[in-house]
Amino acid sequence: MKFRFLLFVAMVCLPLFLGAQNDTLLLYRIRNNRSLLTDFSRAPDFNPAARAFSGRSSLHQMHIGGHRQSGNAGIRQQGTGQTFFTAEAESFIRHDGRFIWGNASYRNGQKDGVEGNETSDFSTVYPYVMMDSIGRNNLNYEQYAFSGGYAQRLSLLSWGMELAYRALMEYRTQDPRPDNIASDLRLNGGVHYRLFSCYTLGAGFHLRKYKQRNELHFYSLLGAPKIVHYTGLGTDAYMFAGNNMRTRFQGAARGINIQLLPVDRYGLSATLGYSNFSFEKIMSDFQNLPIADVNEDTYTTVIAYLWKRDKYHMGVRLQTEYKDRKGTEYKFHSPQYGNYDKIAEERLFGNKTNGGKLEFLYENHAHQHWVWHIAPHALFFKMEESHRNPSRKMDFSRLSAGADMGFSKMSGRSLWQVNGELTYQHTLRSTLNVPGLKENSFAGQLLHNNYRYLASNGVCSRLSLQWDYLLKQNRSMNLKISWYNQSLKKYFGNCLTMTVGVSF
Amino acid sequence: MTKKYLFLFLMMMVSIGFNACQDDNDELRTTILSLTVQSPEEMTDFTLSELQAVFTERNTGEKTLSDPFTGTLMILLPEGTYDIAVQGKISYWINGKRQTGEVKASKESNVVLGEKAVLSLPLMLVIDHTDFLISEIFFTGTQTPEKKQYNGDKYMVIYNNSDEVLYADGLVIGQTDFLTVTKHAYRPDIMAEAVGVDCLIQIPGTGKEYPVDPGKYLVIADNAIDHREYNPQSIDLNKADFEWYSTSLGGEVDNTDVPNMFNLYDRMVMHNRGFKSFILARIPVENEQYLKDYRYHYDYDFVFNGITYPMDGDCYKVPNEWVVDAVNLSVESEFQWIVTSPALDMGWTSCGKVDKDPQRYGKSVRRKVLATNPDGTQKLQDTNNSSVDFIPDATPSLMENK
Repeated sequence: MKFRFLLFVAMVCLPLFLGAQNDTLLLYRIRNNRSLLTDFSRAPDFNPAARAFSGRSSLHQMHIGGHRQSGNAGIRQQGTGQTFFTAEAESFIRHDGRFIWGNASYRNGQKDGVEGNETSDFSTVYPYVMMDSIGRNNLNYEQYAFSGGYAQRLSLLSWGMELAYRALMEYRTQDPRPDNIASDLRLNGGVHYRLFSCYTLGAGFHLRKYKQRNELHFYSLLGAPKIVHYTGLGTDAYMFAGNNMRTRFQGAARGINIQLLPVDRYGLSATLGYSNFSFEKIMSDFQNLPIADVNEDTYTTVIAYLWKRDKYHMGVRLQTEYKDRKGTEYKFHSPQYGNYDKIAEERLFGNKTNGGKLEFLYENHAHQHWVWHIAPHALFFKMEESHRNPSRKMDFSRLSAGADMGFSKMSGRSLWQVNGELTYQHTLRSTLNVPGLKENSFAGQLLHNNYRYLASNGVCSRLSLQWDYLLKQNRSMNLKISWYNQSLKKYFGNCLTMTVGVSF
Repeated sequence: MTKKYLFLFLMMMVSIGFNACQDDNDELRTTILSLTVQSPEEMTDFTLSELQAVFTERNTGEKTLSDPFTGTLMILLPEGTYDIAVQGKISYWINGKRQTGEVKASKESNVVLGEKAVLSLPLMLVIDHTDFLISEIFFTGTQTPEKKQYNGDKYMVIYNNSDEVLYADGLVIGQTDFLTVTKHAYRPDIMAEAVGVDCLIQIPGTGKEYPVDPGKYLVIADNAIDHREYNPQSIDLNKADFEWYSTSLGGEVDNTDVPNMFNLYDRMVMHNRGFKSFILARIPVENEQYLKDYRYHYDYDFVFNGITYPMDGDCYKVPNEWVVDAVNLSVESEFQWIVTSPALDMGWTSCGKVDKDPQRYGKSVRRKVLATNPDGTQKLQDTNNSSVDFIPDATPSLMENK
C-alpha cells in the first residue's frame, strides 16, 4: 500500500518537473479542452494515432475530491450508492508533431447496498458471479488506474500507442467477506495515413488482458450460508452450490477499427470498430476447473460531421453500438468424490444490447470571453437477455431525449463554467418471463427489482459548476461541484461530486 | 472526387454495421433416451402400470417428469447427468392370489449424451413390513447462547407403525461407514446386498422385555440427562428409554436410571452435519457369530490432481434382508449418492442446506404423519423414500414438549 501510494505521488508530480507551459493563455486552454468540440469525433478513444489530429491543447491537471451517491436506483448486484475519495492527475503535451499524454488516478471508497453479488466488476463478468443470500451489504474498495500514450504526426503517416492499467481491490470486514483483486491491462495502437488533402484514413487495434481473483470467507465459527454461482435470470450452477467460495476469472479481448478523419477537425469523421472479449470462470476449489465461459462481440460505429460558420460551430454525431454476449456452461459427471469429468457444454445464456444516439451540437463563440452551447440528443436502447434451460427471458426497449446546455465566461482571472443536462427516458416495451422462479425467492426478488428499475420511465438531470482561477506563474486552481439526479418511477438516485485542483 | 469516396466509405460502414447484427438460432442439444425398467427378480406373471420417472439434471437442478409408461420410456432430454427415480404399480399372482403393490427404481449420475442413449433400471417391489420405523433423528445437536456447539443432546426415536405390539429387544441401530457426500467406487461393492456400518448399538433384552404398543415409541438418547442445566437452549432427555454410553469417549454421562444400549460394534458418534445414514435392523444370528462372519474390508482409489492413491477401510456389513428401516441423510450442496440400496431407501433427507450450515442446529428430521387413528395414535408415512417420507429441518419433537 505504501509503495503504491508513493508511486502514485511520483507519477502525479512528474509533470511539475517538466516545467510549466510558456503559453499564458492558460484559461483558454482549459476551456478548449473541456469543450464538446474537442474530440467530438471520439476518434482517440479507438485509435491513439488520432490524437495527432485532436484539437486538445497542452495541459496538466491534478485534482482531489469526493463523491457521494445515494438512493435506490441501480442494478442490485452493483449497489445503489457509493462514497469515495479520489485523486487524479492527467497531462497532455503537444509539441512539434509529437503528442504525449498520461493519466493516474486513485479511488478509495465504499459501495452501498450491494445485493446478491460477491464478485467485482459485475458489468465485465456477468452473469457468472458468486451470489450470497445474506442481503444488502456495503463493500469497501480501492482502485488504481494508470495510462499513458504517445503519438507522432509525420508528413503523411501518423502513429500512436497507448497503455492503460487498472487494479481494483474489494473487501468487506464482516461476514460475508469477499477478498477480490482484479487487474485490467489494455493496449491500443494504430496508424493514420493522409489519403486526401483534407482527410486521413486510419486503422487501429486493441488488446486487453483481464484477471480477477474472487474469494469469499466467513469468520463465523458456525459455518456459512449457501453460496451459489449465478448463471443468469435466476438460475445457478446447481452442482457447485454450497461452500465453494474460491473462483477466478481469466479473459482477453482483441479488436480492430478503421477510421476516417478530417485533418483539421472540421468535416466528416467516421469510426467502425469491432471487439471480441472472452473469459472463463474457474473454480479454484476444484483443481482449477473451468465451469463457464463468455464470448462477447461488440460492433461500434461513430459518424460525425463538424463544421463552422464565422464564430458558430455546429456538429451532428451518430453513435451506434451492438453488443452480443453469449455464455456457455459446462456440464459435468462426477464418477467419484472430487472428480468432475466434463461431458458437454451448452450455450445457455445470451444478452444482446443494441443502441444508437443522435446528437446535435451548436456552440457559439461570438464573444471572446464567453461561449455557450446547446446539444440536444435522442437515444434508443434495447436489451434482450435469455437463458435456454430453463427457458427464461427479459427484454426492454427505451427511448430517451434531452439536451445538454452550457455556458462559459471569462472574467478577469476567473473562468466560470455552468453545464446542465435534462433527459427524459421512456420505456417502449418490456417483458419478463421467468417460469419456475418464485418472485419471493431471493434470486426472484433480485431479478424482479432489476427489471422494474431498467423498465422505469423518468427523468435524469445533471448540473455542474466549475470555477478556475488564474494564479501567478501560469498556474490555476479550480473548484468543481456537480450534481446528478435520477428520478424514475419508484426509484431515485442522487450523486454529488466536489473536487479541487490545479492546472498548468 | 473526395466526396464520392467519402460517400462510398460511409455506405460501406453502414452496411457492415447492419450485417453485424446476426441472429443465432442454434438449438439446445438434446438426447432421445430410451429407459427400460427390468422386472423385479423372480417375478414372472405380472403387469406394470402407472410407471412414472423423474429425471433430475445434476448440473442445473432441473427436474423433468415423464408421462406414464408401462415398460420402456422414450423421452427427449437436454444433455447432462441425471438422477433417475421411477415408481409405479404392479399387479402379480402369488400362490394363486392376485396381489397389487408398488415398485420403485432409482439410479444416480447417469450420463445422457449424444443423439440417442439407452438405460435400464431394475425395479424393486416395495414390501410392507410390520416392524419398527425410525421416526425421528436429532443429529445436529444444539447451540449454546454463546453460539457454541453443544453435542451431547442427540437422540433417535423408533416407532411402532404396525397394528400389534412389537418387542424392541435386540433391535440394532447402525450408522453407515460411507458418507453420502463422498462417492467412491468401493471394491467389492456390496450395496445391492448389504449396508456397511461404522457402529452398531443394540437394545438389550431377552426377547420380550421391551414391548411397544402400536402408535408408541422409544427414545434412544446420547446422554439421558436434563441438558438444560448446561445449555438452556437444549432439551431434557432424562426420561429417555435408552441411552448409548461408552467409557472410551470423554464427556459421556451415564444415567444409571436409563438402560444402556449394548455397543455391539464400536461406539455411536452421530455425524452432526448429516453426512451419514442410519439403519434399524434385527440380527438373526448370535452376536459373536455376527462379529466373526460379517466383517467388510474394502478398497478404493482416491484420485486427486490426476494422481491415484490406493485406499482401504474396514467396517461391518448388515445384509439388506435384516434391515427393517433405513434413512439416508445428506446435505443439498454436497450430496453425491445414497449409501444404501434403493430398495431400502431411495431418497435422503437433511438438516441445513450447506456443509456446516449454522441454521441446522436444533433441527431434526421427522417422519411425516400419514393418518391419525380414532384412538389418537398415528400412522407414519413409509414409502422407503426419505426424500418424501421425512420433514427436513423440523423442530425436534422433544423440543415441542418442553
